[in-house]
Amino acid sequence: MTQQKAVALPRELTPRAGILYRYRGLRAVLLLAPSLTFLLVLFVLPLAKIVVWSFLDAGSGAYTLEHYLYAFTRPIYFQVILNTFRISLIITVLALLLGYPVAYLLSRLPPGPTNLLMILVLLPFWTSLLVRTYAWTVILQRRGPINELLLGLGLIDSPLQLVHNTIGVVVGMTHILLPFMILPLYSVMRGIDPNLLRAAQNLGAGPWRTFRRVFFPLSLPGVGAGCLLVFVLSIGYFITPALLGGLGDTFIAQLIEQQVNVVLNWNFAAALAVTLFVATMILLYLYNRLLGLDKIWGGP
Amino acid sequence: MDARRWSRREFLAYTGAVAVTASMGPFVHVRHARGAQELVFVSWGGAYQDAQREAHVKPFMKATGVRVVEIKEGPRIAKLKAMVESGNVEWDVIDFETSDMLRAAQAGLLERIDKKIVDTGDILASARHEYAVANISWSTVMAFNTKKYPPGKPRPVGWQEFWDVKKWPGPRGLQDLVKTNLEYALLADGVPKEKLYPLDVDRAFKSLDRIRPHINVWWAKGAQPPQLLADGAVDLCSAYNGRIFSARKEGAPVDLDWTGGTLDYDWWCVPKGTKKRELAMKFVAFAIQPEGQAELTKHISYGPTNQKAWAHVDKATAPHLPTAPENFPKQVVLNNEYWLEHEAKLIERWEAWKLKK
Repeated sequence: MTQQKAVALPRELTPRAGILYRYRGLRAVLLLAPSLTFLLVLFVLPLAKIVVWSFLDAGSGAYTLEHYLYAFTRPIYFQVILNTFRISLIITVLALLLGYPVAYLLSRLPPGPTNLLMILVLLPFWTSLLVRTYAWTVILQRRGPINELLLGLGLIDSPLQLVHNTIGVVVGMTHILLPFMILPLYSVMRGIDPNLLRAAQNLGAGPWRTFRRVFFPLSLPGVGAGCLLVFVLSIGYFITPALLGGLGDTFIAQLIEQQVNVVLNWNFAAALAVTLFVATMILLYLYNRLLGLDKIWGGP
Repeated sequence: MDARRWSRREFLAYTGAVAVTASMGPFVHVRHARGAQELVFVSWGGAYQDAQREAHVKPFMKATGVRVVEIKEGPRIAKLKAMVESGNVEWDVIDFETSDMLRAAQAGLLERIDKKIVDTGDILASARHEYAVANISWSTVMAFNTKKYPPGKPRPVGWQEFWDVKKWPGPRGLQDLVKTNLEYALLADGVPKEKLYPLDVDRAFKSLDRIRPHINVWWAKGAQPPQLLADGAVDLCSAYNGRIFSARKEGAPVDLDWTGGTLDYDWWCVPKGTKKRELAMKFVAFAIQPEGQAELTKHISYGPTNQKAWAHVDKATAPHLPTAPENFPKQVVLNNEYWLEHEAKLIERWEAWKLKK
């Protein structure tokens, strides 16, 4: 960001707070100062504290790598991290497949119906997470509406196991995280100029070709943002996998929670949390190399 | 005020004056509130805390005039640790589970029970501790669906029969918790109650391997088992006895059996460094009185720890309490010292076992 040089304005046009009007850099800093302070004190510093904790030995206060060595030598922790990533990836893809058409519809409708549909998309945010999770237990259970319907129609002989396994986790969490996919997609799609689509069709492209060659590439920043958001949120969940999942669906946050709340080993919990953080950063780095994170900000 | 618009100077002056006056508000309020005494009581919410309110909190407020502020969030030992370490202890009386209490005591997070204020003479021996006094006994037991197993008809009794899927087919549930599951697995494998501890962990996990394919739900929250049983998602399930009793009172088709249940206590604890230590001790002394403990059993079926309380307990309620003479011998008292030592390693082994294909 280049500092704007002081412009010599005529005396009568210089307002009293002259310095702010002449130095853009200073103005930017002052405007950002409150949020930066907030982020620094309430986010960066506690994060740094957790990183420091992960290197401390609980009893003696000496610096040690034992927590990390422990986390890497016991296969369970890595298995659970991979498990978390795997299930979160499934959730992200499913959310994208379900959310893209909805966002597309929302972006192409006139304002009236758009507002109504948008309220429906946002409505889940106004209910408690726990209520939504329990609701899925009721819907998916052995004698729940879905199984009863399939049994009644004669399509199955005995109830399907739809909950307390990976299916339950994926369905429940996709539902919960769907708005986080729809909203970024919608905001990007709304910005796509309809004239571009008309121009493509004028040049002879059919609807599918227009979508594939014009609309879809322009919507990619939204896809990237939505997928990133859903994935990162998903790997941090622990109550939904605990209630909807089966034995093999443990998320890493559940293990961290056990270390914090039951075992009271905060240093080890910190090491696990930092490991998760670094693993996610590595994933994002690869994502950036492949697709380019700056696409999210609408870069080339 | 005339009709002309306010100049910027006037606006700022008036806003500033209002802001200064408003910010005085809290200080004025605090000076007034310091007169009345206040105690912060932390418990687990739901039917349990409602019962504690009727049995202990309201009578205490009436007897002493002290205002008791209730927190229902469930006392987390991690939060207690953060409070004590930062020197800002907001809680005065906590209701802790045994494992949390032992860990908190070990970590120096609790005040010693003041023998001068709290008389534990009538309390059961196993319900006394240097840093806490047990207030209730509760059990995790085998619960079942009464539509599948109506009263008077044969039903599985004890964990060996729970494990017998040929004799008693049907979906089952167990808690996603290594503590208690190992005990059940060993009892199912034929280990006698007296020889349970120290646990033969390898044998327990082998036993769990056998029942694993037949467990449909591994529940995480205490509210799940009554719901799962009532919905028919499972026919047999481990559950907290108080929750089953409450659900049954409300008409749910559930019931329980005490055989092989694991008995545990909840404890009154006072956090280290609380500013109202004496008042908190007075509350504990008040709450362990026989009348209060008997009153609690009217609202929730968790057993008293004060032996004099049995004289006041309702004859109809007594058989539903874990420490009742006909129920107590059927159960296993959980050895929390064993778990304090081994829990961390066993939790890890349990998580690894869960992921095994």
